[in-house]
Amino acid sequence: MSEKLAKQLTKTQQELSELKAEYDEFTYIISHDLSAPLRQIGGFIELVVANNSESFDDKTKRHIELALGGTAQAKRMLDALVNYSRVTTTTEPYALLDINKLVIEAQDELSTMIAETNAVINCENLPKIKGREAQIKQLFFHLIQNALLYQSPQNSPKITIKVIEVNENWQFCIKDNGIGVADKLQEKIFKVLRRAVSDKKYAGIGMGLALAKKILQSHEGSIWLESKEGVGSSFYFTIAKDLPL
Amino acid sequence: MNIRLNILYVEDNPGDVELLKMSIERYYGSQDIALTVVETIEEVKEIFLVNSYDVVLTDWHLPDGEGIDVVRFIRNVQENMPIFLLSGELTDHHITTAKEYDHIVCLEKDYSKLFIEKVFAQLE
Repeated sequence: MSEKLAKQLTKTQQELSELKAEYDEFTYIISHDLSAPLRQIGGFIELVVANNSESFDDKTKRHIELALGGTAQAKRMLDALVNYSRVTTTTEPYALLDINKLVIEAQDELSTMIAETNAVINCENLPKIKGREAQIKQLFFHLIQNALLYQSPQNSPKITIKVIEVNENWQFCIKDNGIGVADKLQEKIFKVLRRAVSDKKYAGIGMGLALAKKILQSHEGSIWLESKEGVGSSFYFTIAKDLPL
Repeated sequence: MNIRLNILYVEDNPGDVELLKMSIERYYGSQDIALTVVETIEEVKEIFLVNSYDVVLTDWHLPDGEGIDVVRFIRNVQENMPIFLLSGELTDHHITTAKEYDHIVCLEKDYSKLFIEKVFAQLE
């Protein structure tokens, strides 16, 4: 390597390191400095309610409820954004993962939802693959949670999880019998804090699929879906087989 | 006697709906105003064809699309209907997109006196 090229490389590495430090600091400011005023708003409203609730009329009670709901929603969004940003800055190395075990753990965390909806999840024997454990578990958690959540009322979720090898990638598929996603909204649902449904009908903040996409980008993979409204969706995603251990 | 004003508000955030109601009540409480609230573009399509409105306010981010989809639909039905595109934070993209249409105003949501005056100025 020429001396000039080596100098350029050193300079670029230094710039990258500075950018990462700046990004980490920005994330800290977002999570810490914005959490504090939100906590104060919520805390003081609750204090006012505790001391004066008997004197509030119905309209005021509703306004208090909306204010507290808004504060809680903002906190959830903030936490989700910080979680999202950590996908980029994580130093967790790739490791050989037992995907069967991670899927079972994700299902355990969703056990209440699975029981309440009488969901049936069929999962074929999944391989051991390379990846970041915490992120791959989050990935399955969010995709299974979505398949359970976005259902018509009274519908029992039926979910299947499959995998095939396609060239240099593992290609997974999580198929459900849910409400489906309209064609024009299929791009939007992978964006940060964007949803294809009303918050009133389906609780959530619109972060699961954005996080899934980000996680897969950090595993040299991608995600897409095939869907029909009222019939269900199949979410496909790939993970590179040859990630460095 | 006041003329009745019919406002259609497309918004899926209940907090924003309440704030607009409060703002109208506070600054234009003496006027005869009917506020209809719907949450989705699909609901706009249903309601707009059977009722008549003087002004439409729409949030940019809706569960089944964007505020500009509401604009496109309404422009096909009524060319001159005043429409306000609302967002918590307006971007160049919002403003550039809105410029493609006449009688569109982009406003940041704050429900202050100034905000509500801008809406009612279009109705005078």
